[in-house]
Amino acid sequence: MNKFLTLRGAKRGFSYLVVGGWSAFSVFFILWIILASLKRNRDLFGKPWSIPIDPAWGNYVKTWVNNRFGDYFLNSLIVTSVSVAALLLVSVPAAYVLSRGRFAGRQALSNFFAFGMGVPIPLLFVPLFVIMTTMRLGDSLTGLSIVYVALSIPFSIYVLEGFFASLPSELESAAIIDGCSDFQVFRHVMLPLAGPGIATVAILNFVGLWNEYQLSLVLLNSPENRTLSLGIYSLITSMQYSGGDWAGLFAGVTIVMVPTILLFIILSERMISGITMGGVK
Amino acid sequence: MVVAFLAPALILYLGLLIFPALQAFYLSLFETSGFGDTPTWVGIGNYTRLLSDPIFWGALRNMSMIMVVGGVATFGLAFLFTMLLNSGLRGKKLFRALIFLPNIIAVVAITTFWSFVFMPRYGLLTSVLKALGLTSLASISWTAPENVFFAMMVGLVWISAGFYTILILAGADKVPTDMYEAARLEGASTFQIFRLITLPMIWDVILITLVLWSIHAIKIVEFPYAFGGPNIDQNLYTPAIYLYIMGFGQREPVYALGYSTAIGVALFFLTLVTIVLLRFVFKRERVEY
Amino acid sequence: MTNTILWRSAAAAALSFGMMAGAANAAELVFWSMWNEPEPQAAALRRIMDTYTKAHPETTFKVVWNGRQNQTKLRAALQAGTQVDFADQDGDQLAGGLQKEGLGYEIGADLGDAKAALLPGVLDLYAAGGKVEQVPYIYNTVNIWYNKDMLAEVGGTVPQTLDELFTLCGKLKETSKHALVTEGNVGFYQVLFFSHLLARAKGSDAMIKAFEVKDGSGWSDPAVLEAAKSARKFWEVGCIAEDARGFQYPAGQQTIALGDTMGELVGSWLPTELTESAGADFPWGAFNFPAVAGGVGKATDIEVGLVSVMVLKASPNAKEAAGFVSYLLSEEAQKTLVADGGVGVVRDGVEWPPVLSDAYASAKNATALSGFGGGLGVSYPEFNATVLTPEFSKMFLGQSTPEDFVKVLVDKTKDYWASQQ
Repeated sequence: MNKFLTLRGAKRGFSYLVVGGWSAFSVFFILWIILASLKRNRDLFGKPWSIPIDPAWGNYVKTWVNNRFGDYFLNSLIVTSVSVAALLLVSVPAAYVLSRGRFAGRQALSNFFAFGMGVPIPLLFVPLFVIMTTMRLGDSLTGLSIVYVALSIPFSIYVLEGFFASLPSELESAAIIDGCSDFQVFRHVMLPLAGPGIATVAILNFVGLWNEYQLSLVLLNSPENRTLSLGIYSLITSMQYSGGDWAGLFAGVTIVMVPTILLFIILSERMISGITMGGVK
Repeated sequence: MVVAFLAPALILYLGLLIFPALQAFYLSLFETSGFGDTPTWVGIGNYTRLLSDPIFWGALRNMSMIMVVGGVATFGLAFLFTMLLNSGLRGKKLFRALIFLPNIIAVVAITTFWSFVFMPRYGLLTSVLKALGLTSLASISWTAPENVFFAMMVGLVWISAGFYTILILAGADKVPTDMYEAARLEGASTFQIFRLITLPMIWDVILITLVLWSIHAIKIVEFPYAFGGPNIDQNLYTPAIYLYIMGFGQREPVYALGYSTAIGVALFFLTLVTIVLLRFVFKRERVEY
Repeated sequence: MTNTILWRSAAAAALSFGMMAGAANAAELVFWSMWNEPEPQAAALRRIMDTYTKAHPETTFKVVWNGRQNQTKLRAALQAGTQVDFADQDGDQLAGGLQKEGLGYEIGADLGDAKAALLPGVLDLYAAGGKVEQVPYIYNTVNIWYNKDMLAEVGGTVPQTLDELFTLCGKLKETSKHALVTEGNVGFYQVLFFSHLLARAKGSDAMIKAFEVKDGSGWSDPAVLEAAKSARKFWEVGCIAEDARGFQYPAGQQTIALGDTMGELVGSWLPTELTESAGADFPWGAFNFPAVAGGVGKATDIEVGLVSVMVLKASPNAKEAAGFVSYLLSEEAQKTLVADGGVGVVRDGVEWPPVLSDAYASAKNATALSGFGGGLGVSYPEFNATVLTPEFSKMFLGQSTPEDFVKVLVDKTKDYWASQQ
């Protein structure tokens, strides 16, 4: 019995060591970036382990004001939240029908959507720009959001379909026997059950779009429309010819990073409660 | 209901993804700079050129390395973390969040961080190795041309492991907890539980994640590109990066849009073949519970 | 504060709903720029435009600060029919992009006497067949940028020949420092060693001449192999530290700021890129790549990286735009660029910022100009990007031999010309 306990203890210890060590590295990574954002450039390169005793808060002021990160922040928040909301509105019902509906060509249609994931995005740069300009949506956050939604559909539907497919069908049948309409079954039975899946898709897309810069680089021009990741991109490209402010770059990165971390903490809480709710039934 | 539920997604998908993609496919049959010149019809010329382009093949090799070696490492870690996190650890939520964390950070931040880790002379890794007295290891140039691809992979796997852990864990959490408890009461080890219960129960999730990984690996641009710096060297090329270099005038004004588009189309078919293959190889009965 | 931001963003969002750039009155010039708005160069341009509008009230400007991807974004805009009157970009990139496509407005006649007032060779560098389609306005020279104090500490003088440079390397190595550094992941910086060595041996157009021999034999000239071997020698004699192979930009240049390395063969943007790390009072100096024994090229032949502005042929306001471009070359405007933008400029007699004074001297005394990396990237960007730069980098960093390098050049050049027929 004793021996058994120590063995279990050792295994426990190993588990904590592996998972804890890996997690600790993530924390180190975040801390290092934040510390880097408070350093002076000389120390950043010469003493990457040093702790800024005299923090250079000016890096933040410069980034937030001169580089207009304040404006970009709002743009990013608007574009990303609107896009994710619209994306869910569009793809959750579609995924539901594709995974649980009964109609001819369902599988084919589902595959057709999945194929979209294979299309390399750079292929679409020029055609999309032309389409958006023709529709008078060029260089606008609205246009960018629409493109974001469209291009995120395949991945979202693909993942959501998986979640819907794994839901027990008894509840569905029971609801139908109780006289629920198709829509009521979706709204009151399946949607709540799929909560954790939807949250996962929302988080993954939010994070992806928050950090997306290639499409926005193509579709947006005016500085007042820029998003945070474009701001980071222009900081990086300014390193050539005029910049060299790497500490300032880290300040920008921290500004981009903090909201996603907060959001993730809040939403992951949600995911957990969603899962436990599902477990009660 | 079917129509109402499907129509918005389908319209957006057709209009802003399929339609432009078809335009691009058509463009790949021409030679054009994209500056409004009259494209020259070359038929499959761009594709035959692709087949005899050593840079493209080098990029394909890198891509396969990412897919296979990176994939084994990523999924190995993801399975390990799922197993350990589900073995009744305290603070599972916290650990899970921290493992996923790199995924929510802008890629440039991550690549800049890793270049500080691997930097010769002043880098984080080098100074740790020096402090530990491992001078021979400390003098290795981790980002020299012969090592830089693997240095890049370390960072990539670091991110991806977190991403796929989340997906696989989300699947594993749907497995009814009483199954785990029953198994644990009968004395099954963590590994046995994972292999005999979790894995078969979440087989559909695994297939989804494998497909996602393959697609991701085939299309990968951002991470190696940002890691490569302003003038990425060919040791880090993936086909999608090559597409970018050839078509979008990065550092040099190379504007072979037709050729670049052909690379994209080739990638698309590569993705299709991979998905079909994966579905065929991993075909199994879907488990319902 | 928050309210202002909210209001401004709301207004901006409202404006952008469906409103597109062009379609304004004839006097509004649309300028797409490679600068980002917060950059000093953008500030200087903004001031120049404001001054111009004051003098010519009928001409106003709508500027889109696109950043470095300007030309690629322009390509998409042209396809969509968006009106752009003029744009700026690195001269090399314009030459291989808009200019090569014949989209530039021939501006030579509009420049008038401004032409004569420029530094030697500036306007001709990109003028294909005598037609001026792009006008350089910012001037970068390629030199060895170095720490003057460090040179003085070892009692060195500015090397005039390659051998003197190698001797200097030895002196610095004794103090366990290094004369030069490079970025292991920036092929186009590394290539500068090759292009300079070849130019010093065979003249400033050697690179292009060698490539244009269609059976590839241009590279079989012993001088090419010699240049490749000399480039390797920079590592062998310890001019460059062994670990520099692994430096990922900007790690290499930072070692200059940190005092490990004396200098780098690079463009005159280096002091600006290192201001934050090295401090404003860093003792910067620059000297030209030294002469090679028995070579026909002079040490005063330089490679340059110019930033140009181009009026688009399709612009309905081409004349007005050309008028502004002429003004951009005026003494007043060029002085603003120096003062506000902190850059070197193209007009003769306009002093560059003090930190760039050696570069100004080298531009003023230039006997021949060629583009970055010997100009191959201007005329043959694809070959330069896919063959020459990566193959040289491989050899330079020790993954292949100088002989392999030459052989690849011969073979690939032959293939290139065969595929062009």
